Amino acid sequence: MDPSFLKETHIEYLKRLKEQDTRLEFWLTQHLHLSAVYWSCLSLWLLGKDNEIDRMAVVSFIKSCLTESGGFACYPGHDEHITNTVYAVQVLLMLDALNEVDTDRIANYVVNLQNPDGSMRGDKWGETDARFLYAGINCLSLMGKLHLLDQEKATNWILKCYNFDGGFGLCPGAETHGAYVFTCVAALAILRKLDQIDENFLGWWLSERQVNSGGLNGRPEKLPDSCYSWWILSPLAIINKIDWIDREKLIEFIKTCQDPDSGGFSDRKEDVADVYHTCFSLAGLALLGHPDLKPIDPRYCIPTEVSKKYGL
Amino acid sequence: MEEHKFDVIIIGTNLANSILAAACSWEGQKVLHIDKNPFYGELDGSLALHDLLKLSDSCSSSNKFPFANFDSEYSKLRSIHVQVYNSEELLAAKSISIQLIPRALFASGDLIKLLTRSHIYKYLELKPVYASELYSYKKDWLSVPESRSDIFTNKILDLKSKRKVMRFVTFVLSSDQEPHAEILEQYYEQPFKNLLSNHFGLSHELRECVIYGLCRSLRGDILTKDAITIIRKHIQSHGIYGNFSMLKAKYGTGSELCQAFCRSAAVMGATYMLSQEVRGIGQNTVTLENGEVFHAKVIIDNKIEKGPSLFRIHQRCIVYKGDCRKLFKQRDVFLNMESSHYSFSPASLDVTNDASVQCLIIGPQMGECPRDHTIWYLRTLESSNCDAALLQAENLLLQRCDPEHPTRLMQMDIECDDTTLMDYDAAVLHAQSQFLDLFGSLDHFLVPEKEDEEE
Amino acid sequence: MHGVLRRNVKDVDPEVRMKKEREKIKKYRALLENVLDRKKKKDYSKQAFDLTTELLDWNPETYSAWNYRREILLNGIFPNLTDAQKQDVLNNELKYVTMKLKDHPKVYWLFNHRRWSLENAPYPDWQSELMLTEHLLIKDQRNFHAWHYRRYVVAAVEKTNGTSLARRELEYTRVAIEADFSNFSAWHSRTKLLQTILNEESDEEQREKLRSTFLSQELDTIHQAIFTDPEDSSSWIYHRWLMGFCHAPNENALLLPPTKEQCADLLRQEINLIHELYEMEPENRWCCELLIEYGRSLQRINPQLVDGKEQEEWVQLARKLQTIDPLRKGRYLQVQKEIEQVSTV
Repeated sequence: MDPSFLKETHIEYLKRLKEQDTRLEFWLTQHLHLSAVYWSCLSLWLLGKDNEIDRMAVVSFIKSCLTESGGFACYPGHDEHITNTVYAVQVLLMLDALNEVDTDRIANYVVNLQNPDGSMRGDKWGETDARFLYAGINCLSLMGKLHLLDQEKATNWILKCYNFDGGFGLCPGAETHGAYVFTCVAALAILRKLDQIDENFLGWWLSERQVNSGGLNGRPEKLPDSCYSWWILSPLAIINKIDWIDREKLIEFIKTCQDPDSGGFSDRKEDVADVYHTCFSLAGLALLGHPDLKPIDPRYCIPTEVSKKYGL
Repeated sequence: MEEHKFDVIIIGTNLANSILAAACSWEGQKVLHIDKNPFYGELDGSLALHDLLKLSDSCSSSNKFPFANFDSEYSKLRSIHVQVYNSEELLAAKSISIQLIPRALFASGDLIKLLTRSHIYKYLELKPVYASELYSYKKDWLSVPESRSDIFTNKILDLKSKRKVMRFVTFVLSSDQEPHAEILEQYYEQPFKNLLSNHFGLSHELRECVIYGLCRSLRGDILTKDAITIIRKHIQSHGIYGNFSMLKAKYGTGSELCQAFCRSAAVMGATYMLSQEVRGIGQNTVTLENGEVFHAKVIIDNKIEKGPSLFRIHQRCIVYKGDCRKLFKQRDVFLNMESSHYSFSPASLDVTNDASVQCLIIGPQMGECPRDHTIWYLRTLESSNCDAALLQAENLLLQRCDPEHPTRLMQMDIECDDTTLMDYDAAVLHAQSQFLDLFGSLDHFLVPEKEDEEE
Repeated sequence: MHGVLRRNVKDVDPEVRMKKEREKIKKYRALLENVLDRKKKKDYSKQAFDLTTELLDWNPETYSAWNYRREILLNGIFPNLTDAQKQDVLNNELKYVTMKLKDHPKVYWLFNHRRWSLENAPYPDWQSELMLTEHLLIKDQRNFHAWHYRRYVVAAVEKTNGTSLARRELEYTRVAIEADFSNFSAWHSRTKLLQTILNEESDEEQREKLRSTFLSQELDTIHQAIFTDPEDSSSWIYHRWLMGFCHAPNENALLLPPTKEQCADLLRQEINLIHELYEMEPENRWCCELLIEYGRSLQRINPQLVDGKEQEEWVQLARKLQTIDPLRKGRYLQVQKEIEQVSTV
């Protein structure tokens, strides 16, 4: 198969997502609904089709997810959570609609999730995880309210997740994992604290993630997965070391994850495509400078033109 | 007369025939399966203690075997001799069953694949054979490395030896690919030890470990082509179901396997007749000793697998009473399994013996003997001093059971040809080739109908 | 959708599937709306509780249903119960989660609910939680959720008993590594446990003894691993850690000997050993890269310990790395540049 980039097929795939409510899967994954809105908006944007985003509908859906607490739920009727909150803020910023919500209230919700040790809870039930602190830092920064957070404590906690192999785990003591390397490195980048880590050492671990097929895995001796094209590549981009891996082979791998008939990307060749893998495959290709895609900001995971516009 | 008409009549319930009976029945054929013996399996079967003693009595009186297919006509079983040392204790021990000729059952072999595909494994209780140790020419026990983690944890191998053994393991697993295939080709017809020393630089002790421990060869001059097939199977089998390569079926592997296939055949409508002597076989008829005549389109009257006999084997089975738990290794907290394998390299035994001794020990958990008993199967090449070699191997194992020596209850000696000692997979290939002759395709060979897609 | 084959999905007739699907959607939506509606109305009845079970049976990732379940327990069910009764209820919660974990061993919400149930139980049984993690890790030795949960349980046991389990946990990782030394999760765990054990020793002299014992034991094990399979990355990464290649702020060079001279001796010893392996495996990229790294580390301790010939060898190795491991060519080029810069200075 000629692994050419199927731009139009992917655009069609993304447009069709709106019609998915005839599928059981659509209803069973309501807990991911807001996330899916972010993934598809970002995908369309990267493909240069931000005009295809139904701004009115998206903004009004997101606003309907805002709860009394100031956090966002995945879907009206569900509970608020920090991951939905960051996705909501990212999309609202991309669509220039942050002024339509009370950012003070949102920031207040986020800041109150910070624990005394600097880490952050995902919601009032208390699960603590590096992803949540990154989510908090990201959306506070996007709203221009990072100063409300105890940044020093946050930085110290992230550094406690730092491991001997140069990467980061989900909390202090946990094994290094690609997704957490991204969240911790991007958080440090937003906090402007990258000087606290050894970039050569980190780059070493990240570049070790490329396997012979060209794809990236999340941990040693694991299978590659197209979504790691984002989790591994974005920290490499943040520390300017994308050249430590083989770009061409990675591009080739990501392209083999395309569904040639229906569009979209899957985790690996021949598997079923979904919007999550589609978004992070495109984001990865964008970081690799693919000519059909708009540049992406590796710290915030939003289009570079948006982060530039707001001086981030 | 209708009940005397069949599609296929199969004579003899050895494993190959039992597999074929099941396959034909699954194919919708009307099958009659006859055996002269009162038990299933012929040489593949197990005998209950009282049958064995009867066999022993009649052997000594008439020098002729009472059970069919044991005669030398097919150059399989040459002689069988049973000696009882403690009849009181022996008869007090209920439910002892002795396998005539146990063979190897590999976790990745054709037979296991067939059993799982056909779901016939459900009739069986398969258990791992743990602990494979070799008594080397240095008069020392060493555990036989069967896998990457065995090599890693082995306390005796030095670092460079570990690298060499692991290289050999990797080589075996990819010996059909270049560049390994070319090297293999070069040594194919040569003694296996040449490959081990010239290409892998394995020391004497490690060569013994591979030839007698991993390959379980009786002969030191086994050729590369013969050894590599067995070793590949052995290594590929490791880790499929756990940290072991070989399996045994509870209550006697061979007879259980035969019965599992026969049971499946019966479920699909096959008719079974045991203890029926066949008087004559015509082109489409089988006449029994009692005068009954059966008709069939096809009559299959072959005895196990045929092949040229090169070596004669002496196999000894001993029943012990007493604590032999030290012969079983506890490898997993959740499993308390009792079957182990031991090998003795030729140079480790004081008698001048060119052959190794291979030993399989079965404990009471395997359901073949009562509590506090064990069954030992020892095997070596037939020679003038093989008796001394077997005795010495037995004594070395007894030393491992210390402090209390167990009591020897009985001993059975069998002389047979080495062709009978192949692993159980040979029976599958044999049944397949006959099935192919009959039906022209293996597409339906014990393949279950497609199950409905699960919701 | 991880690991679902495309063709398996396409085989099904779309017409038939759509019809089946419509019925299911109707049923599921009614249930979902019922639960969310009751949640909004703060219905804390047993009936509502059972409905959350039904919903979670469809999909255990519906986190709002787990939240609601806890709200019902806290507000509707617990207030009238004795401790023993409350324990029964929570034991059932744990049983339910265990059942779900069989099919969904990597769902965060399941572990969250488990923690909550134990934290709210009058008599939590932490030992059986340890067993649970062992079962999960037998099924998937790299399940980081299970490792994470195990650390949490160990901490709880330690708090209850007032004793450290670090040595027992170290033994647990040893068994795991013996079964498969590619288990990087277990190696990772050791780096943390050894640190804990050393920190627990307050006597300076004893701690130094312990450090030196640990170093030689760990080196011995890792040597077995790298010689058995020099392609396995886990063991090499651990070896680097033993050699003090560690840039985390709190755990620099945990097991290295106290003096510079001793460190240099250790590096030289390991370089020699890796050289032996390199002679057997000249194409092994780990040997090549670590010979350079450890050599340069030695040079940093004392430039006198390295001669020009050895530096020249590093350049050769760096070049070789670019051909045997072209994926990371960029990284090796930088290393080569750095060596050449040092040698020209």
